[in-house]
Amino acid sequence: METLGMLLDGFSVALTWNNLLWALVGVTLGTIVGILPGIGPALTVALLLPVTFGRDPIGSFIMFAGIYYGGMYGGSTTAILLNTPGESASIITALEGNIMARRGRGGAALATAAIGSFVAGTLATVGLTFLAPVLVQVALKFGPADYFALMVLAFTAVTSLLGSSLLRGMTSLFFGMALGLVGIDLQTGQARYTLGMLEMLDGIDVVIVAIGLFAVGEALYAASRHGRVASDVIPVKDSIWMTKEDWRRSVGPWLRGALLGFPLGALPAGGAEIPTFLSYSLERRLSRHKDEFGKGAIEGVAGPEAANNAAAAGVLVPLLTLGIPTSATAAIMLAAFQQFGLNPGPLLFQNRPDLVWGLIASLYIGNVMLLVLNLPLVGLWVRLLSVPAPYLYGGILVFAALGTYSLNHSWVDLATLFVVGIVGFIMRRCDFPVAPAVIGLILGPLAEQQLRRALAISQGDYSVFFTRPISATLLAIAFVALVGPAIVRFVSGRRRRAGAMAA
Amino acid sequence: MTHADPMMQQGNVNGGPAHAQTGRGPAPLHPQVRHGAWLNRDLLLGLGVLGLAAFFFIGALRIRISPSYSHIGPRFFPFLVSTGLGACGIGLLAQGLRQLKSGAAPAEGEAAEPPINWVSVSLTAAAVVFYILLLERAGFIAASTVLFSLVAAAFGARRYGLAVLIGFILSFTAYWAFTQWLGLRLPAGIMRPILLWLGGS
Repeated sequence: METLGMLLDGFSVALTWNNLLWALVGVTLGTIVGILPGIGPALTVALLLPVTFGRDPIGSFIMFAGIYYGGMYGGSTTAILLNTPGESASIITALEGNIMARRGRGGAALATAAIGSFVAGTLATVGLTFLAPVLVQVALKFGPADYFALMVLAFTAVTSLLGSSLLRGMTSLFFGMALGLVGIDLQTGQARYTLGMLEMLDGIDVVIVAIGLFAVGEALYAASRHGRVASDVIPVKDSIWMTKEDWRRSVGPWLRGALLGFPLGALPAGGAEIPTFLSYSLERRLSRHKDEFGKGAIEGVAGPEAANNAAAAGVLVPLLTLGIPTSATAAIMLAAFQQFGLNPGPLLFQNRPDLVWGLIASLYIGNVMLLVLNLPLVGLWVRLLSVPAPYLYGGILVFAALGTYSLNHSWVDLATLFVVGIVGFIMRRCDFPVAPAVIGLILGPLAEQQLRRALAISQGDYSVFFTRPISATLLAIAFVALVGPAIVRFVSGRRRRAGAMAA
Repeated sequence: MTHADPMMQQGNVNGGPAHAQTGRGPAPLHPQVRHGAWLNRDLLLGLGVLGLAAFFFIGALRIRISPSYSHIGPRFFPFLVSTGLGACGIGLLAQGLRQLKSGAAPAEGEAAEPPINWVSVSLTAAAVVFYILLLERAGFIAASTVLFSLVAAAFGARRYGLAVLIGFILSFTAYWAFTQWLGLRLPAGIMRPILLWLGGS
């Protein structure tokens, strides 16, 4: 009951005109960047950070959360109408949704994705509301060793769940952690890897790295494919109102998708990719229209899309209660918290309940706004897909450079942006997942701090990580997270191949 | 490191022949395919990552430790991270060698990647470099207009005049909005007289 009271207080914060406006700005921006290829919520939040500096953190975070949720909605539109999915979590949506659109059922696919996102997003927000206070109580018992173990878990989970290969994910993670080493060591004041440059003493800003990877790297990648890959927008011909039959076939997948997505997102494991795959194979098994799968089955859009959104909401649980980001956008939001001098975690719930609960309440509001924005107005958003690529990427780079320069007014930042962009291009081209690098960069220094604190307390005794029950459990889970997905992937890969043979 | 990954390009030419070693598509389609069986993408990447790991490992040796600090100091974590990075580099190297031996297409990332459009990539990269050189000399609006126009050209914009115009309007609007309403400082550069005349700063 206490939780409900807190939530009501949160609504009283979120329902002020000012904050409603921030939420609306956020979800609108989020939808736009979700739809536009080449730009996503992580980049958008990173670009907006300098603008929000010195402003009201509550309004800023309500806007960021709106961008995050909106990006998920918008991403599904692109996946359905354009034959290139923008992000890994939309691959499955693109699979069935694109086929539906080609068969003139694009409207129904967009509708089931939007309503499914709303249902799952709202259910997952309810989950967040009630799980967060419980986790906060648990987190209060965490010592440095436990936090370090938790970060190890986050690292392994993020690398083994994102991308195509564990080795590539690990490389990306360690690269990010290595970048995180640059700058002054907080405990001893020693400069590390600064190459004698004053600008490097503060370290490499995660915002610059995110902009470099997601804007410059992405633009170079798109340039490398320019004229080589054709992508066409499929017009929506049918009504966006679903038939009774569509509804009947969508409700189950929505609910199951939400149930799959939220816990998998909320584990410090992150990644919306696995839940969408699981939801897809589950729906295929349960469906009475198995023959339609691969030919545009509505269940194959409804389930994964719901799972995707529920997982996105789930990611906020470890971010807010433990300060552990498990997706690129969450990593940038953590950077945003740091910019405002706030540390997500149990103390934030105690010290700034207005911010935490206002933010959670705004998620409910944002979901309603997104449903309204995305269903009746979808025709408007679809037009964004016809922005010519030259102007789109020109604009992205202008704002990327502007956002970077306005951080410190230093050309060194711009040079860093360029170098990181080249690295991002190589990573994209060679199939390295980018998110682990961003997470490693922001979480690496925190992990080092906890590690050294834990070892200082234990007088240098390493067994502390295995003798404390919480830490030992987390490390055990980390081990499973490292080995488990490989097994799942192996099995499902075999099954998929077998399925392809049969079909 | 970006250039000429023969394995990657062989594996996916128009659906990609399974026997990548001999399967060379029609030459004009992908002129930069290089057929040396002594190097491939993962091998190159592995070497690059190993080099980076060495840089961080050697760098860690150079971090000063104060004698009064008895617990694990500022070198410990860098050693941990650079060792991890090095292990990844060796892993990539091993993967590359295995692919060389078996002569098979790379197991990962073989997803249909067309050959790199070097003209577009170089022009986009050059646009960013120009921007960095121009920004503090010519000002934000001029630098951004150049950036926008060059990137637009890299992505195949044919009407250059229109691209420059759109770039200028976008840059001008962004400058005005960010400096007047959002309180950011941006270099005015060569546009200063005009901006002052308009009542800006």
